[in-house]
Amino acid sequence: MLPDYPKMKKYLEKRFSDAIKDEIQKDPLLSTLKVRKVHEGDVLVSSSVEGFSERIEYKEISAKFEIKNEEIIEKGPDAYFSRVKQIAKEIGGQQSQIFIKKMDEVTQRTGNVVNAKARPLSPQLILEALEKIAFDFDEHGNPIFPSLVVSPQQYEKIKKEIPKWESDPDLRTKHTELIEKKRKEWLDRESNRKLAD
Amino acid sequence: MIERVIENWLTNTNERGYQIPFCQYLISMGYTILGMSFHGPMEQGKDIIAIDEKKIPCAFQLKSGDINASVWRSIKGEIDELVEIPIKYPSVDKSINHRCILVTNGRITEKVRVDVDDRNANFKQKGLPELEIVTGSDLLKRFIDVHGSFLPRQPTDFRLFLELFLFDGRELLRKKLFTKFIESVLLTEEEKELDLKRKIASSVLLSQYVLQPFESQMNHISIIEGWTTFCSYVLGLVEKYGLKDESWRQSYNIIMGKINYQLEALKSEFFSRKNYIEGYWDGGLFYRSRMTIVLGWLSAFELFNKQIDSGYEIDNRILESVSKYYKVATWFWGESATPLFVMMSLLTREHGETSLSNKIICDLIIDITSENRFRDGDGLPDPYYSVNHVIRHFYGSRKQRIDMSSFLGSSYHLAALVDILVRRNKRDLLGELWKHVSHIQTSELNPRPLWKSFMWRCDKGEQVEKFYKNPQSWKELREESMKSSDLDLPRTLAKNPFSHYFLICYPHRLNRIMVKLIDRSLE
Repeated sequence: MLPDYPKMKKYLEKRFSDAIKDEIQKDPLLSTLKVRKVHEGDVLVSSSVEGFSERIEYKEISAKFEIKNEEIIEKGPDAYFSRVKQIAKEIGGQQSQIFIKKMDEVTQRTGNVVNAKARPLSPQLILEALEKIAFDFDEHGNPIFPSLVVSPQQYEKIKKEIPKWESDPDLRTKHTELIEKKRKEWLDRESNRKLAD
Repeated sequence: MIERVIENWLTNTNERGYQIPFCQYLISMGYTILGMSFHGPMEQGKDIIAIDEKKIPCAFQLKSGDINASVWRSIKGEIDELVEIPIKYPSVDKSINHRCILVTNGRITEKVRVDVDDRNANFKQKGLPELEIVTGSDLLKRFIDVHGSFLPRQPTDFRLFLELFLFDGRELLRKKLFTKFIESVLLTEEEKELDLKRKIASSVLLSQYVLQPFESQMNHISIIEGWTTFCSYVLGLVEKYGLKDESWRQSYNIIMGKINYQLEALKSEFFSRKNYIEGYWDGGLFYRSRMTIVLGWLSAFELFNKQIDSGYEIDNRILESVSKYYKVATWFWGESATPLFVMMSLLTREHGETSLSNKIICDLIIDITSENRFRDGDGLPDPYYSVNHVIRHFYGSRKQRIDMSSFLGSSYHLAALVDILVRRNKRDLLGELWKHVSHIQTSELNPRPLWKSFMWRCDKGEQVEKFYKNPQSWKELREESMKSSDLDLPRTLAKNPFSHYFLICYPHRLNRIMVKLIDRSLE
């Protein structure tokens, strides 16, 4: 063979894979997820705090990309790095799909579903959804709200509405009542974190 | 090519360095090893006592280097003892003349040979056995014969072999690399029992070659970890193929002898030193991790001895060292250190120091639950991250950092540690910690099939993750911590004191069942 640079290329390969990971992390949904490396096995049996058990077989997520020899010769490693966004989009898309599908399954099973029935996203709908979710409070007693995942188009639509919702006295009262109810539920949950007979 | 490397190893090692390969050679030739000493000749100048394939007792004395007239003069007395004094061993018939063999990895000068011939004539007249001689070139041929067709011939395997062979012997053993090498020799397609027996024999020798850098530096911990890992793979084969004792037991026993000899040497070194600094740029995490590793292994050694002999008196100096250095000079760098602390706790409990013993376990639980608190913990590495990884995280470049946040909210070892306190009926202590414990999701890998527990990494198996209940019934915890589920335990580890060593070497195999096994091993 002709001379090669395998060590340097291994380093570039690592940089390439890190760049893809970083790009995936820019996704608003995926960036909220905690990632943990599982080193062995082929099946995950995971139980939630509520005791629901889930058996998941690991799936491979991959993306294909092509680079012509002419481009490789002309651009070198940059030819690979120019594909990072495309690959990240494909892999990230698959990850999001799996996540949303799994969320769907879990929420259907646990009943944590609010059917909007074609209604547009509204504060009532959000309060209704929050009603179904358990959330925690920090050491200062402030609620730790869950993330709300919406499409970019939907976000543009509701962005302007949020200040109005926040200043609506009726909504504020409902919101405060909900927080207090959730605080009580949280205190109940916390007081159950104990050893019983 | 590889023969040249073996020759190079053989000429550069000493008699202790080739003792295991030589014993393995004897086993392969049908000998039964009755006794051997790594400390130097046993009584009457005998390093190894064995029975050969014709049932004749044999005594071996091992030497290193060339034997010229001056060396010969200095060892003549030992040789006379080797020949003249019968083997004193319970199962050896003293009325049968034993064979006596002088072995060296060097050469014997012509002058010495002539002297040996003369003396043999004299011994014969007296009705004594004649002295047989094995030299370096004979040894090399015999060792190569043991390998049969199992020497690494593929370039990738040979490269792995060389990489290990040329490793810096001051480092900790790179188990990932070492196990990759062992697997390349031991694990192939379905095998016949005889082939497996030969493979075990060959890999004993190969392991000794690649552990040579550590032997040269007398790096006890890496030698111990190398042989412990090797024994684990042998047990894996035993489980997988249901091997008969005759195919593996003797090899396993000589290696266990070596591990325990090395632990004894570690103990001697530890108590003979004024401080535990190694080289320059030391102290800090280097020092604390070293102390943790040494104290953990020495505790395991005491527990091992106690399990094989209930009359064994635990060495007080180790207990004193654990009391003195625990927390002051130890470091819980992550869950790969858990087994080391568990050994310290079990040892102190065995000696009646229950308060320190419970404190060690409590501290581990506190560290795990606070460091891995989901919202605001700093993160404590899981058992798959070695001390080297973690030190690189703290002292290395940005690129070598570990994503500590990935460990938040879960733990591989919490449930096993909780079980220890539950078995000790420490409800009050656990009650104090429970709020934090209940926030952590406990993880455990169940390798399938079970024999793969002995592999460094297992591609098949269930990773089981769960939370404790809220509230959690104490009665249920007690039942679970006591219940016997030996079905989930490799049978070769049950009641086997080796499990102490196995857990230190394989921290990712520490789970509720394994800890219960060692926790109750002295009951």
